[in-house]
Amino acid sequence: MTDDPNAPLLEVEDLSTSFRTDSGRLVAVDGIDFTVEAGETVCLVGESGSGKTVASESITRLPNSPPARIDGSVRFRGVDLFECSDTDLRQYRGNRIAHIFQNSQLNHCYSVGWQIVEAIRIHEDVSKTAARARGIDLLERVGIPNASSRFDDYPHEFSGGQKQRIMIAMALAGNPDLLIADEPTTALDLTVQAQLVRLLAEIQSEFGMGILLVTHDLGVVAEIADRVVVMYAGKIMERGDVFDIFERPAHPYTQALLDCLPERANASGGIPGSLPDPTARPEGCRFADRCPHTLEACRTGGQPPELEVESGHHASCIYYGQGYDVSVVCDGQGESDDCDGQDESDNRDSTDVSKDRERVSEANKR
Amino acid sequence: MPPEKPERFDQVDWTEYANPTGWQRSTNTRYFLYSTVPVLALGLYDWLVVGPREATFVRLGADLGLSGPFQMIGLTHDPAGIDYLFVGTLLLFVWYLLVPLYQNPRMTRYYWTRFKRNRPALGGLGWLFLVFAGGLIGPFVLNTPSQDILTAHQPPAFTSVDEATVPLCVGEVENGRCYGTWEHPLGTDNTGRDVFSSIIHGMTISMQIAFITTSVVAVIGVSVGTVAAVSGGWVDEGLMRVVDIVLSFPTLPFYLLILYSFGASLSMFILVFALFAWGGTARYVRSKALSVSEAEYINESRLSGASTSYIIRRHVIPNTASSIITQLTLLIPVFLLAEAQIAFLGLGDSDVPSWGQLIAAGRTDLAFAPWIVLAPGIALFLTILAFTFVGDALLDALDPEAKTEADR
Amino acid sequence: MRYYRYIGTRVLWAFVVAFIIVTITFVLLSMSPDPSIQQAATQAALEGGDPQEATDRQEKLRGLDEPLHVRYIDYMTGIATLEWGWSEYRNQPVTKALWGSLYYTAQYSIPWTILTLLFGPLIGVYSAARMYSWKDHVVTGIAFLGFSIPNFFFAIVLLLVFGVWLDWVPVAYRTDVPVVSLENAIQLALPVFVLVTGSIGGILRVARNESAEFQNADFMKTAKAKGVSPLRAYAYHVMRPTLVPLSTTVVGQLLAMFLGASLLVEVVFGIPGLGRTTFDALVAQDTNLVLGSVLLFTVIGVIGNLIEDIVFTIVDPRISYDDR
Repeated sequence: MTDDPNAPLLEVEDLSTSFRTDSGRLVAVDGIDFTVEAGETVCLVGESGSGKTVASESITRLPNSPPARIDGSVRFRGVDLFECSDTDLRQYRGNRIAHIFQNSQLNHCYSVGWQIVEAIRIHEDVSKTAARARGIDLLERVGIPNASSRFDDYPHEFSGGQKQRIMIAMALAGNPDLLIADEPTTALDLTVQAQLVRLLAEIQSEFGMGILLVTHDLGVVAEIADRVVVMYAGKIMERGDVFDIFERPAHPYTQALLDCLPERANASGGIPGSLPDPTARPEGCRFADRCPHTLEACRTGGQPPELEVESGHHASCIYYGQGYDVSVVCDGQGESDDCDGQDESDNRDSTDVSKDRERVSEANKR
Repeated sequence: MPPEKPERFDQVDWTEYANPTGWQRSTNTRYFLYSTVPVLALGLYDWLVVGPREATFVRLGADLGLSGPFQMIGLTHDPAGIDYLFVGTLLLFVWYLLVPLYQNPRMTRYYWTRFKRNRPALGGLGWLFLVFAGGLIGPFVLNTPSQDILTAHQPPAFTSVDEATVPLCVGEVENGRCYGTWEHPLGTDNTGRDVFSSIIHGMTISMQIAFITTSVVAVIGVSVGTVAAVSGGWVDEGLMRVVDIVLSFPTLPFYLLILYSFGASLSMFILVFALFAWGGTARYVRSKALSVSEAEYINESRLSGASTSYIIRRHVIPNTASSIITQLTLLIPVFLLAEAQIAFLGLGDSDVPSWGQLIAAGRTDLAFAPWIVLAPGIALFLTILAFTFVGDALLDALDPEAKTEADR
Repeated sequence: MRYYRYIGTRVLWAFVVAFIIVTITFVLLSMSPDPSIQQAATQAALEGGDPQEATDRQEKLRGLDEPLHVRYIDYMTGIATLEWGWSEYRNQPVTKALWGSLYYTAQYSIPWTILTLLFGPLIGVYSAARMYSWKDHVVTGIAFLGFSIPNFFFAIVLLLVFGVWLDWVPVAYRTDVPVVSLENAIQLALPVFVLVTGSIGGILRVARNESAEFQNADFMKTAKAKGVSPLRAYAYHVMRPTLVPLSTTVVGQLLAMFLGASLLVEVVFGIPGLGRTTFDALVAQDTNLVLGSVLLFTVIGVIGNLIEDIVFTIVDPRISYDDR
């Protein structure tokens, strides 16, 4: 049970989470892997329903099982968390691996101080007064004014941004090595979002922890991420360095996602269609139904393997395999038509793309 | 009013929209008022013309020259004041609950499929239907059980007791044991009254209590609640203080005091208990009405020129109706239990053959004739259980918010 | 300090309510014929005296010839100063008679209240944690049966089974056993059991339904992520918010039972407590004692509602004191 300081901070391998529902088994996360190193920020990106939240919560086995079933392996400093008993796993939760959720989820019946002290005293045998002193320090650190006098206030007496700061303070209570933040800024207004993102960055540089940030807000990603993992319908579509992803998105889904940003050159204003039914996923690539470049081969077999686009940049798209014309998916990405050493030749496909774009914009008008 | 093609979830009464501000009654209200006319007429006739020792229907038959046919169908009853009230509330129930359900078949089907999921509640509804039917038809079919000391303590059918405990065995006697007969399917009590027909007559009492009290509670509670919510200010404040007092009123001890000072009757019981039970309903309707009147669609409606009374009738009351019905269903057991308790103490209306009285009557003979206590006790228990089950299922079926909560 | 002002307002309001209810009792009594006067008249007629004169004498004796407002003030001061008159039936002051019977009522009410408060929320939360398992179904079933079975009927049946047939408990209540003794515990077991089954059902259901909502609440995920053990999560994070809605029902539930069912249970088991005293006073036509017990029930009801209000402010930190 002792961990290996040389092992990677977090290695997720073939993680699958499914839920038993009335309409059958719902596979939210379908065999994904990624790693997070100490001191780095990895962003898990995807639209709502892509399974990113479930994936992040499955790391410490938070979903109740049943109805959830979690498979695969999660190694934290070399220790497989899924092999741990519940009691052992609780030593990691909050202590080594801390969570922050969307909407600060504090218990409305206890003062914030009580809840922070609880977080401290669960993992450390310290006196109440010592825990209290540390709690006040933490509140000050995350920027709550008059921390000592507000320590005994109840959650409803704080604003939304302050509550999220309190959540961060509570997450820091155990000096975690890994912070998993699930949409921490989504419910807040823009100025508060920016402050919180800055706070997270500061805390990271101060404590040297790894951060796994789950978000659909690409603006936040651009600001804070080192590496990006793009998820769609329970599968990983693309992964790579944040600059590679933003400059040269390789997977059609990532491209479409980035096109949703209004300031981008090809701003489309949305992706037509919707996520496939999570209880009955289609054959082939998950994105095939909404992809403008779908081929016959996209609709057979499983999700394509992750193919190398460039060093440290992978995409799960058959166009990057042998015998496919990669320029089809790279074309029309503004400055990024140099995605790989292949030259563009087939005009028929690119006209298809523009047709598709017309269709897309029409769909959006409707 | 046949059920029309169900185009919409809820039926829209366009005549009301045509005249949204005036004192325009809905169709059902009109029919309700028409149907109360004969009841009121009969009541007035009873009060003004019929003598105190005459049976109303006998006199009516004589006056109309229909004594023969009346006698033939056994219409010789003498309804009391409470019976008129009962019929009135039944009409209320028909025109404001059953008919609207019939008029909106699609909504009814929707609620019914959700209600059906709850098996115990379905059983409860079946039992309540039996009690209702028994209470309505029973008194016309079965005569009031008569006393006959000789046939006291007869055992129920299929059971037997020691011959020595029965003055005279109606059924067969074998080996010194007296066997029950179908003449008295549930046996007889200590004065020889048939327990089965006593229970049927008790059903009428229970139904009268259930319907009249809940109607009174509904009318007062809904009026006070909506008036408080709509008026606001000191009217609201004052009414809510009255509700506070009503809620902290010790009803049963107080009823005992009233009973002590003025004597007991079933009408008095219903009056007192109904007058001190509407607090919760009023408070609930007020809070619901306040939250509803803040909803967007109320503003829309107000902007399009609807009056306050129109908004209350068309939006506030329909939106609170399902919860009020649920609450009332869960109030009925309280009334039934209270009546049974008072009757059991021997402080109730001795002219009224209620279940509680039967239980009290059988108590002394419990050791050797337990059926006298068990039969009405179980009937009372099942009725209360049925109301609880049905109320619980209605809570799930009618409350859309509870549904979304469960789905989350 | 708003908190203390709020409590102060509630206490004051409780006095107002009590005042109004007592006034209503006065109105009721002054409207109704006094049985002692009728008795005197009948007595006089039987003995060949003048009924009218006897009535007047009796009225004078009871101070009924005074004008209404004087009688009202006398009545209210009498009640406020605890001079509740003489009980003919018990042949002692009303307050003393009531105090004596309260002693017996407390003997079963205290265990009953404690057991209900202890097991209601606990079983309810347990049942919610095991929702839709067979244990949950058993618990909910018992809850339904418990509050549906008429208490006095249940008491009679239990007394028949355990008292008459099995002879495990005495049929007649004995007042000569010490309060803390096995005999007393045995003879109180059935009444306490009957009352607990009656009152626990409602509390259990509220606890179950409310905590079912809270055990899936967002803050439970936070607690789990903090490393809180499931037991601690239920004991603190679920139980505490459940107490808020519970606090608004518990007192009402217990009071309703106390005012109603305990009267019946006392009569069935022959416990000479408050309910039994009220009943006997009614039968014996002892006006002062009837009035006294109604007043005592009123006081208990008002205090109960006050406690409910105060408990609610303690358990729910979100309440705003400006609300009322």
